Formats: sequence, C-alpha cells, structure tokens
Amino acid sequence: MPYVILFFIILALIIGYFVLLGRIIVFIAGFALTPLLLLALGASFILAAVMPVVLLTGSRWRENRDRNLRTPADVRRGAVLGKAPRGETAGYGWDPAWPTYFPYQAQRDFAFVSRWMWNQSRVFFALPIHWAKALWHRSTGMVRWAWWLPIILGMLVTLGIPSWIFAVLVTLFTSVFVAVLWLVMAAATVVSRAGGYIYGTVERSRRRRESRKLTCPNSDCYRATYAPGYQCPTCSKVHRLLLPGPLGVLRRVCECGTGMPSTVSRAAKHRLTVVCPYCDSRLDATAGARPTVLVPVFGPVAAGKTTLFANAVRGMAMLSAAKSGGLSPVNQPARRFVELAESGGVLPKTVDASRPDVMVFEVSLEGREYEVQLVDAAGERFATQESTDSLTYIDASDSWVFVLDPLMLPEVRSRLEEHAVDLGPTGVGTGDLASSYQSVVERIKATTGDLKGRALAIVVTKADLLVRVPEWSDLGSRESVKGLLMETGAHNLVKSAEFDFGKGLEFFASEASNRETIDPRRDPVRIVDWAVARRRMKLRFLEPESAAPEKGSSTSAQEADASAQSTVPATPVTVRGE
Amino acid sequence: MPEYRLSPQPRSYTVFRAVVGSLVLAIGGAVGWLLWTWILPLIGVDLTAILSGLF
Repeated sequence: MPYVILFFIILALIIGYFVLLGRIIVFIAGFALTPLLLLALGASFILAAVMPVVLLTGSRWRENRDRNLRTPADVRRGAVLGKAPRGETAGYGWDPAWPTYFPYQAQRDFAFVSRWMWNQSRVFFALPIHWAKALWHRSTGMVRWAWWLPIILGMLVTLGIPSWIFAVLVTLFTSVFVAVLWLVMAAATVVSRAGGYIYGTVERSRRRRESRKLTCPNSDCYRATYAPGYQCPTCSKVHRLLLPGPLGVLRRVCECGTGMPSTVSRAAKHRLTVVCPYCDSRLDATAGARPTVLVPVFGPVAAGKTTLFANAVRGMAMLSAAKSGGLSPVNQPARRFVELAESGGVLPKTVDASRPDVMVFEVSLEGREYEVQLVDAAGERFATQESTDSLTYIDASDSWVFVLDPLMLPEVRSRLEEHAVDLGPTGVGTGDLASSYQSVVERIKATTGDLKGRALAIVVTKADLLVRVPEWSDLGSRESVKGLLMETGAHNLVKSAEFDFGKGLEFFASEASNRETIDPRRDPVRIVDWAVARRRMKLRFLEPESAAPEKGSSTSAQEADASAQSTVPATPVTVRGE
Repeated sequence: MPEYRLSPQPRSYTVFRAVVGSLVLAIGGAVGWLLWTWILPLIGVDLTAILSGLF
C-alpha cells in the first residue's frame, strides 16, 4: 500500500514537473518568439545584403578570390576568350594581358559569392539540430530525460523555430541579393562590351579614314596592317592587337601588371616601342601612328624609277620646307638614298635585290605629320610574273606607279632625232614594256582576284627631252600624256591598262629639271600627291593641276640641261641621327 | 596545396569588386527601406509599431 501511495506521489510530481516546464516554455516562447522572429527577419536581410561586399572586398577572403582568378596564362591557353582572336593575328593567339573584369573575372567572383551564401543558408537550417545534439550528448540516464530533454524541447521552440525561420529568410534574401548581384554584373558587362565595341569601331574607322597604316619596311615581311603591335614597356612582351575589347576597354594590363593603353593611337602618343605584328621587327616609335602612304614603282630596266624617286624626295623636301615643314628619312635605306641623292651626279643602277628595301620618310606639313614610303626595285625583277614573286610589298598597296621610258618607243626616238634633240648621257630603258606591265598586273590579279578599286599611274619619264619636240611642248596633262603614248606605239599598253584599271588609271609626265625651273605639271612630286590623294590624306605638296601657275613650260624645259635627267640638284634633306 | 602567393592582378579588379558590392548593398538598403516604410505598412505590417510595442 505505501508503495502505491509513493508511486502516485512520484507520478504527480513528474506530471507537475512537466506541466510546470511546459508553462515555463510557453511563457518564454510567448515572450521571446516575436522579438526573435523580428530579429531573424532583420538579421537575414542584413546578412544577405552585406555579405556580397564583404566576400568581394574582405581581406579574409582574398585567398579564396585569388584562387578563382582568370589569369593571362588562362587567356593564352584559350580557356577564357576562346582559342584565338579573330582577324589577321589569329595565328599568334591572345596577347599576354589580363581579361577585363566584366564579365570574365566577374563570372568567377559571382560563382564564389553565390556558392558561399547558399552553403551558409544550408548551415543555418542545420543549426538547431546541431545545438539539440550537443545538449543531448552532455549527459546520460535520468538526467538526460528529466532535465535536458525539456531544455532541448524548450530550445527548439524558442530558438529553433526562429532559427529555421531565419534560415528560410536567409535563403530567400540570398536568392534576392544573388539575383541583384547577377543583374549588376550583367549590366556592367553590357556597358563594358558596348563601350569596347563603340570605342573599337571608332578607333578602327578613324585609323582607316586617316590611313594610319603600318607597312612593315622589313624586306622579309612587307605586310601592312592598321593595327601595329606594341611592346610592354616593362617586360617587352609583344601585344599584337591593341584594340578595345576583352583584354581592356580603356586600358589593358600586361601579364606583368603594367598598365598599357588600349588603342594604337594612345600607345603611339606614349611612344611605346612599335613591333610589326607579323614579323616582330622593332620599328620606329611613330610607325603606324601617322597617316601613311606607300608608293611602289615598277617598270623596265633604266626606265628612270630611281631618278623619279630622287627628284620626288628632293621636291617633297623643298616644298614642305617652304611651308614651314620638312622631310626626313626615318630608316637606314631612306638615309642611304638621301645621301646618294645629295651626292649629285648620275645615280647608280638599283641593285637587283629579291627583297628591295622600303624607304620610309617622315613628312611634317602644316602642323601634321605623315609617313611616305617609297619602294624601288630593279627593273630586272619585272621581267616575268615569276620574278615578281618575292616583291610582296606590291600586295600591300592598292595603287601603283608604272614608270615608262619614252625612249624605249621607236616612234619617240625618231621624232627626237627629227628635231635634233641631243639625248646626252641619258640612258635608254631596256627590256619589254608590255612584259614589265603584265608581270606586276598579273601578279596583282592572281593575289587579289580583280583590280576593282585599284589604281595605276603611268608615268612617262624624261619629259624634259620630249618637250623639245614642238607638238609635245605642252606635255603634262592627263590627255597630253595619254595622247603621246597612243600615237607613238604604246596604244596597246594604254588599252590594256584602261581595261584593267578603268577610272583608276592616271597619266603623268615627269621631268628632272632644277626645282627653280621645273614645270609643276611635270613635277615628280605630283605622283606622290596622286598616291596620297588615293588614300584620302590631307597631305598635299602641290596645288591641284588646274590651280597650278602656268610656267613657261617649253622654254624652261628647253633651258634645262638634258643631262639633268640622271642627276639630282642639291637641296639639303634633313637626315636624322642614327 | 601550393603556397599562397598574391597575384599581380589589375587594380581595377579590386575597384570593380568594391563598386559591385557597394551597389548591391545600396540596392539592398533601398529595397529594405522601401519594405519597412512603404510596402509592409501597405499590407498592414507596421514594423515600427511592432518594435515600439515590444520595447
């Protein structure tokens, strides 16, 4: 009996204990639940809002961020921007530079932030269970059941429920802020790409419009491009495609960490070392930065190509100096040529080199700077199409100068003899006119397919002899030169050229008189002006033909010594130091 | 694991990260402020009143 009474007393005590505990839990829950829920709401919102900036900028996560870096090495091996850039330099792969933050590195950072925040949301879900397990394992036996179980239940109600609600809210707000982060990065990517596209297009079109073209003067290369390469000023690595794009919109950062301009125009202003993107030759710092014109000549042996150039260089120097400008040779072949021209006397025959040098001249005129490139190859190179194979500079231009020696035409020779014109020491061209013409034109056709949009100037040299014949005394205009060729046996050549080049065909006469007596219509500089005009450059040495002052053409020409055809009058040309 | 070495990454990366993070924070702040002062009161949840009732 006493045991029964004792049993009921213990049972009543246990029930009373649990009822009391339950009332305490309900009391605490009722008091604490609302503030805890509000706390969970605020804390989860703040956590989701603050964590992106903390994860992106906090020094504690720097190592994690750096392990996710997309480096120039990744770019080079094609893991970031694809295998290679499009265009001419595709074969060289990507430049050694860091990719733009948007979107390439931003993608990695976004993945890092969103992954971390999702993982953290999962942790918050498991937190109350983790706490309950920790309390459960604190003791064993009756104490666990009588004391810790109610505590655990109370904890789950008062802290667990707000924690789970907190976890749910964190997940919800994480979704919202990860989406906001994505939107911000996507918007910045759109702005970055649009900016790069617009800036790149403007830069490219401006360079094309102003003919800022690099024609590599290296005789093993001769390639032409609107996008020269530049060396990094610190590590000397070559950046072949300096255009706004995935490697930098306003500026790019070299693999070594050095900042570089993102455009050729700005790189040129910073005087970075220019490199031919095809052959890696180091070039003058201004190469490719200035409006450039390439004037390639071809024609038979001893047609007067070198003399034409010598007089053109002399004329350009004088005319630019008269306009407070100047002409100076930039590379060694140009310096050698100027020294040769200044030495006076008969110019030696051009050496028959399979890869003739490009002579580069810098012209300053009316506050602007230009680059004129002249290429003179020996006439033997133009005997057949096969012999022009090595003259790849021909492909770099879209306008050419065919130098024609009128003394090669028997009809001209007989007219000169009729009028007792003394040829003096003037040499006569050798070879075949038609072969010289066809050798180059067929090569161009074979390379480019057709001659649409291309131009040819046929230049009749030694005009200072021709003007002594009365009917040719007014030689100079397009029609007069063409007429001379038509009536002296070169009509087939003229017809072929008209068929090939159509409206792109032009005729010039050239004389080698002193600058003081030269007829402006027969000035060799006019041929350079023609080539320059083809490139729509603002450079002009002479007034247009219609505006040119009439000079006593025949008189002055007759006064000129015929031997001047092969000599160059002395006027200094600036020669820059080595 | 290889020894950690600070990479010479562009300074612009740090700037852009700070800008993006700050923008997200600013947008979050603006949204939170709108929720607190306008949207939640509109659906009958006045957090300011609840908080002042609690404390």
